[in-house]
Amino acid sequence: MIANFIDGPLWYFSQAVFAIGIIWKILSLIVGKKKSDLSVARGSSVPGAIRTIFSRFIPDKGMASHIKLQIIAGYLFHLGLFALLFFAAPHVRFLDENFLGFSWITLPHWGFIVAAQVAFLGLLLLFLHRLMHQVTRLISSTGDYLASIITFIVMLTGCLALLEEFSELRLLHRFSVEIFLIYFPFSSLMHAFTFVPSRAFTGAWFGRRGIKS
Amino acid sequence: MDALKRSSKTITSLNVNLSLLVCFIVIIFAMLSFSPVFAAEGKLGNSNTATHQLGVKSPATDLWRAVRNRDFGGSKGMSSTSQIKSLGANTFINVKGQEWRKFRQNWLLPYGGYFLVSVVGFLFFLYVVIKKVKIPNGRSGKSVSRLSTMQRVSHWFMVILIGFMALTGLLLLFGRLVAIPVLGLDGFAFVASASKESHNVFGPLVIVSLLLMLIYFIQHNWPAKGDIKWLFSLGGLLSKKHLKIGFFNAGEKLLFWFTIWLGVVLSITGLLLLFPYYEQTEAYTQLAIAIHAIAALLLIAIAFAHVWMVVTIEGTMDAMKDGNVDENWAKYHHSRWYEETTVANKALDVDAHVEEMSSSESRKEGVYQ
Amino acid sequence: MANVKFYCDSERCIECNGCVTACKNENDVPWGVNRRRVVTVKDGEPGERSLSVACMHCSDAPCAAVCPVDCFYTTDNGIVLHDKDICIGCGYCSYACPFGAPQFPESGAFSSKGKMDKCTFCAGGPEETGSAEEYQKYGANRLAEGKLPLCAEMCATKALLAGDANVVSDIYRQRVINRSMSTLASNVRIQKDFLGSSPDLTGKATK
Repeated sequence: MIANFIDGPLWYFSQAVFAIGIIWKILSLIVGKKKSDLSVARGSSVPGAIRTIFSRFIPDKGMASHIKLQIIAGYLFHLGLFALLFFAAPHVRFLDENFLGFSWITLPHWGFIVAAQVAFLGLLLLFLHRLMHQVTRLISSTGDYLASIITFIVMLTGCLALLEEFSELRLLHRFSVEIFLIYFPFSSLMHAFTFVPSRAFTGAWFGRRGIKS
Repeated sequence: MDALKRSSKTITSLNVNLSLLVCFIVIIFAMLSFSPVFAAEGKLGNSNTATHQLGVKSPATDLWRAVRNRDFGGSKGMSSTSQIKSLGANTFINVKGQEWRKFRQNWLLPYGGYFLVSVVGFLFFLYVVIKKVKIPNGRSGKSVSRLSTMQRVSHWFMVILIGFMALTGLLLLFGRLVAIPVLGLDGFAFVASASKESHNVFGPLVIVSLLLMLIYFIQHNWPAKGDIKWLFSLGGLLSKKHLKIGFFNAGEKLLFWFTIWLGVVLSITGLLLLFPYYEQTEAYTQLAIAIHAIAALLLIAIAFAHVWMVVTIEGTMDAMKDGNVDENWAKYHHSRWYEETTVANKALDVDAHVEEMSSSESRKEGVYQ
Repeated sequence: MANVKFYCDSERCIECNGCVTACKNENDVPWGVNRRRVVTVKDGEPGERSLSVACMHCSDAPCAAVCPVDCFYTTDNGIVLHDKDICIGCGYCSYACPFGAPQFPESGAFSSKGKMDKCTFCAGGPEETGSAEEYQKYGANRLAEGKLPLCAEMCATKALLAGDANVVSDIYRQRVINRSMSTLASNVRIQKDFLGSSPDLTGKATK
């Protein structure tokens, strides 16, 4: 009964919310009103946009010494998550069978586990730092905590279901993924899609003003 | 040989039936076994038991005896091979398995269980009986900075990991006794599977948390001169004078070092268990499981004691919440540290004050000029 | 019900590994899993002997005692079976088993061991008898078809015996008696060489 609901209606609903939400958010970014910049252009905006998209991967020199943990743990988490999301054999198989119809190279089992451990390490340290540091605690909203916790639960349930033998554990993982998908477009998790346009926008603006960033 | 011929002649003259034949053979064989012809076989048989003397031993007897000897002694020179290439395939009978079973079923499960239950029960008893140690004179409202952000992050990181490892580990160890009667076989099966898989994934992270703990806390945990006195007076309970204690008291230092060393033991044995196919025999794995379980039970007991201490002594938790403790708490529990830190802080404060004054003056000057 | 047992006669086993192959074929076991193996002691030395080893279906099975999820059960025939729907692949059974019977399909770093697999005495498992699911998980259920385990049935030298414990031990006892008698006979021959007489000593148990 619950199993059918999780595998059936809720699964399709969460996918629909995820897809429509993302399209709506990105469209609203493109279509939305922008203040036109009336100043005289001092430089070209396109190279600035492209440069900033990549330059923001490198932490700012002045800040780096203060936010070592955030940099290290942040990279660990995001790289680990990326590896286990798109290169773990069960995930690739799932995407192949349900959506794409093709597959690609996958990590060996140990690689999958190491990626998960790296991602867990980063996420836990970042979450605890957010909670423990006076400043980040003040500037964090409920949404920030919720996004971290939901991501953690998705990863944890996936980790519980590693043997891929018990349907209860598979359902638990899928249910947490559904919650994650529904919550995704309405939260800061959207940065997975918006970080490129956001950086491009800033970069273009800076480029036009002749600022190197 | 003369004696032999004489005795045999008298007997062979009799009418032979089967039983007499057997008797005859026994006697003959007992005598012959002293002669050089059979001495060689006696060595081969590796024994002087009654079956040998009877001479009608089963041909498999030597085989099984040798198999056992190899497993017990190891130096008997028996080698066994198999066309199947897998771990332990060459071993005929692994008697260690039976020892491991005895250890686990008759020793670890009952006594480990009693140990854990009695520790938790005792701590609960203490919690009920002993009154909370209040901060003397109440909270002052002033706070003293005690722990840095990273110190708290590494502490809570370890709490999350060890808590999770303890929960999943205990489920695997005692689940059959405790959880199966409640959840049923099928209900417990997926819980146990989840426990096993996540225990394996989170295990190596414990090593990271141990390293973080070491990096951020070792500076406060070196033995100091008041520690022995603290231990002998049971944390100041038996001493009339109030003890002056630095950043950590001896109990806290013991907690730290127990956690680190038990953590190291758990990590090494745990890693051995994570890579079971890299060992030549299963003996190491069996030993590793035994050590892992004992160390884990000790660490869990210590963790419970730690929780009880924190709950009992008011104001201790503050340090791990936002890094600051109440001034009165610091004065009472860690007076020497309080004195040191306030002296340092005052010096800092004065510096900051002077700086502030001078900068504001210069600004004023700037304005007026 | 009959109590079934395996017995391997070390005087007859010629280490042909036919039982191993038969078992793999009959039960469709995956790579790396060998429910049965032949172990040779004193290979190439005097007194070399081989024995075919698999799950011995112990009366007081160590695997069942240490299993953290209690997935083992003993049938009326005294066969020790396990439920793969419950097994979590922890490997404790393999640490307790003296015979190295429990097998695990995967290996490698961070190996998630996968569900345990072992000899079922060709008696299938807890699934419906003869179903495809039973075959896929546990292999053939020959006992339900009135047949004995294939390893024993096809043993060329009849070294490996399987079946009702009483019948197996009767057969083996008979063999032991015969061998003892031949040992006796050879001893008598030695005696005759020493004594140079005694025409009646044939050494045969029965005339």
